[in-house]
Amino acid sequence: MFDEKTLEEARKLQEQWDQAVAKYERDFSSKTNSGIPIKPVYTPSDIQDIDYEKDMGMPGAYPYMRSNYPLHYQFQPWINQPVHGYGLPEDTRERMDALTKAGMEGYFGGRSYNLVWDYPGYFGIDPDEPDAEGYIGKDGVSCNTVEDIGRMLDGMDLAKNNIVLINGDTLPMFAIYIAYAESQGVPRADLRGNTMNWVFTAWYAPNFMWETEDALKLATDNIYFCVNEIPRWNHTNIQGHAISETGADAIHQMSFCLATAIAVADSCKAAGLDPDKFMTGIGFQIAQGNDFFEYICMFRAWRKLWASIAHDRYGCTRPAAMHLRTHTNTSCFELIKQQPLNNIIRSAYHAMGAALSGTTAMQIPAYDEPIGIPTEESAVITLRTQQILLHETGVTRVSDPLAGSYYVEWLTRRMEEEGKKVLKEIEDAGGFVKAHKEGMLARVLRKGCDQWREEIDTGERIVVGWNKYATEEDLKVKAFRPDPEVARLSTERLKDYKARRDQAKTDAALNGVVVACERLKKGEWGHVMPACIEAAKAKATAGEISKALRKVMKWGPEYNVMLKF
Amino acid sequence: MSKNGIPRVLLVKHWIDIHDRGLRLIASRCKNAGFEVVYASYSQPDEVVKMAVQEDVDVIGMSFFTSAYEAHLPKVMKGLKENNMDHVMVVLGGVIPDEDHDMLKTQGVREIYGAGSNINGFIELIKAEVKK
Repeated sequence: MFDEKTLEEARKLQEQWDQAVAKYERDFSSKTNSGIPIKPVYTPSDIQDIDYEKDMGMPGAYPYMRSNYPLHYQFQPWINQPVHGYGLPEDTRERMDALTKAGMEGYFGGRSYNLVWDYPGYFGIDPDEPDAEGYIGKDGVSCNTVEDIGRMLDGMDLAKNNIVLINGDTLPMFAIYIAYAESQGVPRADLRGNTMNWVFTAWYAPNFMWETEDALKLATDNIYFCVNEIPRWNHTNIQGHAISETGADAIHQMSFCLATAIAVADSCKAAGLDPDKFMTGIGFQIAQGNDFFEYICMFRAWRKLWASIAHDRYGCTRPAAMHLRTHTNTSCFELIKQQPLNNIIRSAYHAMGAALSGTTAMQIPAYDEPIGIPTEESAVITLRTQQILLHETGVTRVSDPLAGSYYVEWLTRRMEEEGKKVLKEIEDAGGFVKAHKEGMLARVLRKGCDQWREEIDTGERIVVGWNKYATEEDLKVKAFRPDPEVARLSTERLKDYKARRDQAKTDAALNGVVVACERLKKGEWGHVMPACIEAAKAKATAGEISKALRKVMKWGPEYNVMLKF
Repeated sequence: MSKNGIPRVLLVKHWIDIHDRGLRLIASRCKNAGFEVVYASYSQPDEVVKMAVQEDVDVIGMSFFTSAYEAHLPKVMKGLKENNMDHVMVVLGGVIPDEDHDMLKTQGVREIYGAGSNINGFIELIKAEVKK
């Protein structure tokens, strides 16, 4: 990176610096949140081995460490993608319209509606089932049928706007969305948006959805369908944010996501799909947390590692197939209940880090989330945080603005090395599926979570307003509450919907889903999603389609996992 | 009742409530404090009562991510009473708005914990109140 003369000067100047700090007689070294030892200063000597062209390159050039694109925010700002969803579909529509009015923007004049389902919707449970009690429309929208989704999206240009469907079992609601779009005369090939497709794992809990291998088959079949029928759809979201929330540091968030994506891509390749086509639909939901520089360096290393995996392991040649698509979801576990307005400041730093990392979409949790689900006011503040960052701070003027910093380049290199190390450990353990099923990954997360709290309780880690500068003031922020009538209304609507359908036709279509799953089990790809869409058109509910899938695909371990210790 | 003076703690969460970071942390701290811990998911509130009876616990910790406590808690409290388990200490954790605390305590909840609560306080409460 530097000529011999510069390096010689750097060594001399370093000696002078060493002498200057010797008088303090203290060790000023520290550690990142991932535990990487950090010196108090960095110089050209620390990055002399880096080859500018091969290891870094220009933004928009392989290995894409600096950016996916030659120009980024100068040309096209990141997508505002705040998550929203509560109550009935029309309640959520109100929030969608409020965010639109507040200036939420996506790419090229479209918008991205990041819609979250309630817990029952997440797990394929209809509101009329006992397990839904207490959860209907609470932490997301209660939306279970083609009519429901119409109540939420009525009049919207589905070919222009991105619709992001955040729910767990993915396929049933995706099918319902496609059935709705086609009923409005929008061909499925014109749709754009995201499904989660994370059916193969729930990092955060003892409960899985489908058992890992069957789940991976379903995820792959969804990708098979998208590649062939909805080429612009972002079919898969690898959930780094959840891994982080469960206890992963930056190194493990990145590595566990990459290992997950490799498992998905291996499965797609085995199904005969072309990596240059399916890789473009895989995205990563990335947490940006408190350790400002470490997360930026993680991000840069992550882009590079993913590009090299796409290139070397899958032989991709299209740049789009090597790009790391990112939706930043800034840290939630680092927001606290005490003095909650401080969370706005925390999230602003996280968002600044994400912008300096070159993310492509952003979601910031609301300051009142440790108290309840966001109010309209707090949801709009998350959007304002992004808008202030974009229009007032000037961080968007230059691509990869921190490049060339001795510290940033050194730490990016270290993140890359640490990431490769963890990936190798997972490969050596038999790959992601085995490591996941045997609990190897979960153990790392639990340990990370325990350690974080231990550091707070001992005062080693300072959290302002919690273990330092704490006050005894009463909490002034009140929790937002969706309409308590939602559960009753949603259940009545479902009953009415079922009463108005041709039951024999619905039953036959649901049986078609079962048959398609049986074919999937035999290795015949591409039949499950079309069958789910037919079921949705025959007025099957999301819960009913989910249960049809479960008749063949093995649903995860029994819910009542009991651990004794 | 606890055997050999060791408190037995049942920690539960509904199976679709995936935010378990807090409850797992509590499990690990209870274990470190020397308590016997049963950690489980449930589908219907009566299963919590069944597990409490079967495992003969002294404490039940229920965790909720913002919802369902108002639906599940009364059923658990009623079930405990019917099974002569009134002595069991019930505590809640999660994102439970302060405005609901009085209502829950009136139903017999001993304490409610949330983000940033003092975990050692919870451990001490169990040590002090579980009858040996």
